[in-house]
Amino acid sequence: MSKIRLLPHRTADDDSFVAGPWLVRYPGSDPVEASSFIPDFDYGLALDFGFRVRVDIERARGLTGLAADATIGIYALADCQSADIRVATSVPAGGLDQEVWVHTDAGSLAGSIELSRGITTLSCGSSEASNAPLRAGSRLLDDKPMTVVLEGGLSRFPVVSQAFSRSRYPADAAWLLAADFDDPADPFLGTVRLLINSEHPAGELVLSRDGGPAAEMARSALRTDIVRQLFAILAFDDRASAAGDVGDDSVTGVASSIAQDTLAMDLPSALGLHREDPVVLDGLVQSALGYLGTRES
Amino acid sequence: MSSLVYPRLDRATAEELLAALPDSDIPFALEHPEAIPFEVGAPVDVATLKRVRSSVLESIERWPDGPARAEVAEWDAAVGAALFNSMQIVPSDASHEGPWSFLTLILLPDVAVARFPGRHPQRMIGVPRNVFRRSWWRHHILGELAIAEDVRPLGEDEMVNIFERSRMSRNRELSRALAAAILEYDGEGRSEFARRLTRAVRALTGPLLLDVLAREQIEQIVSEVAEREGSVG
Repeated sequence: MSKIRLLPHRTADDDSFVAGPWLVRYPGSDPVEASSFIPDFDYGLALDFGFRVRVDIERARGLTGLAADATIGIYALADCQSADIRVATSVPAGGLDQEVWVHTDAGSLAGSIELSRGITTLSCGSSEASNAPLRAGSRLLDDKPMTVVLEGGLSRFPVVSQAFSRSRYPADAAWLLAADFDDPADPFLGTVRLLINSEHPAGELVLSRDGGPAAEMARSALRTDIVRQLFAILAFDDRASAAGDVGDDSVTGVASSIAQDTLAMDLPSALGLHREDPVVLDGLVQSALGYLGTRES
Repeated sequence: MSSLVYPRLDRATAEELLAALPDSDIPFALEHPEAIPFEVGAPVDVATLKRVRSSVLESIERWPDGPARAEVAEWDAAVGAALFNSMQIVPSDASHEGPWSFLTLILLPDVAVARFPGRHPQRMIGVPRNVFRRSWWRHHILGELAIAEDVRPLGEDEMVNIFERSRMSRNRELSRALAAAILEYDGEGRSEFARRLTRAVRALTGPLLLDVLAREQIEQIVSEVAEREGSVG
């Protein structure tokens, strides 16, 4: 479904642009379908985002009034507000199934990105049709964008490893979720962090690269605790349950994503359950996240 | 090569430190027990932190008592260049508040206060308008254009026109083309010209997706708009 935009020139329609799901390609790996968050993101990763697409060039030309010598391009755009950068690629539409990829450099992204795609003119040719696009880069169709969380999802919370004995936190605690936001509409990054006690055996396990059963069990407990603590922080803040348009990068936005991914329910429902029947909510979270290895997550 | 990650101060600790900053003889440090780098990336070492501090101090030697009002843009540009060249911070890390809070409240608090004696939290905490974060980002995006020496450097209002139209400023080629066009303008009222120019280019980003254009095409568009808007003034 394309994004609606009022433009001074003629545009194409959804049937002109048939695209598959967004894909992500880690270095040296085959592409996989992109989900709403990227597992194992770190600053050393150079990621490619792309999709398979077929553009009906004749249909697009007919609708837009472009002549046969005009070139229609397919674009892919990664827009990272946190890192203040937009990276785009554009290739000529070939009329057959083709892949389009946009490359992002290691260390260039943070927070989340909005992926968008569609078709534009690369050159406008010699059309004399009324209201035909006249300039390279004219938008012909913008597909609905997709937001992908890089940091702040369950798999890669903003993590700080520290010795609790030298901090203000209880020395025997394994981990804590620290939230400093004034309003749940504030950005998640920078206001919520996972503090892991590097002196605690469970903390050491989750920070290690150990893939053994004990480490996996500790990580499953950690994931469950993150969700519990985040819901507990938000449960009695009316603003988190209020309807309204909040950014995907906000505390509410990230918590909504976690509620949806983990419990298949919206955030107000999850927070309501926390207030009314916290035992049931806890059981659902444990079950969904394979608490202590009880189930594949 | 930008490859380092910096210690991060959380908001609560930064606010406590800001409240505790003395009125004079502001001390600096190279570490803080609550400041820890994010675990992905090479943490900055003490030698680099010392180098960052000395580079910044050297860049502002001309202003021992802080910049006068007319000199703040120049001061910001000099500090931005010094930070950019000495920090080697990963841009992903620079997108976060914590490293800039550390820089402002631990490593360079005296410098920050010299620029913003009012110590407003928006300038002292590592949010986007932070004294160092903003200068670093401007240099990161504009490069040498941020420290143009043969023409009057970009003023604060001109920078704001480029950078506070966020979606547009994320197109790096477009930001640089706008900066170049503003610096090249030799008519009267350059700030007013910058405002008209950025507004007119922004209007084009509806029908046109400028991100897919080559640098030369973007420069051509900006040049056409600049010529038109320049003749208006």
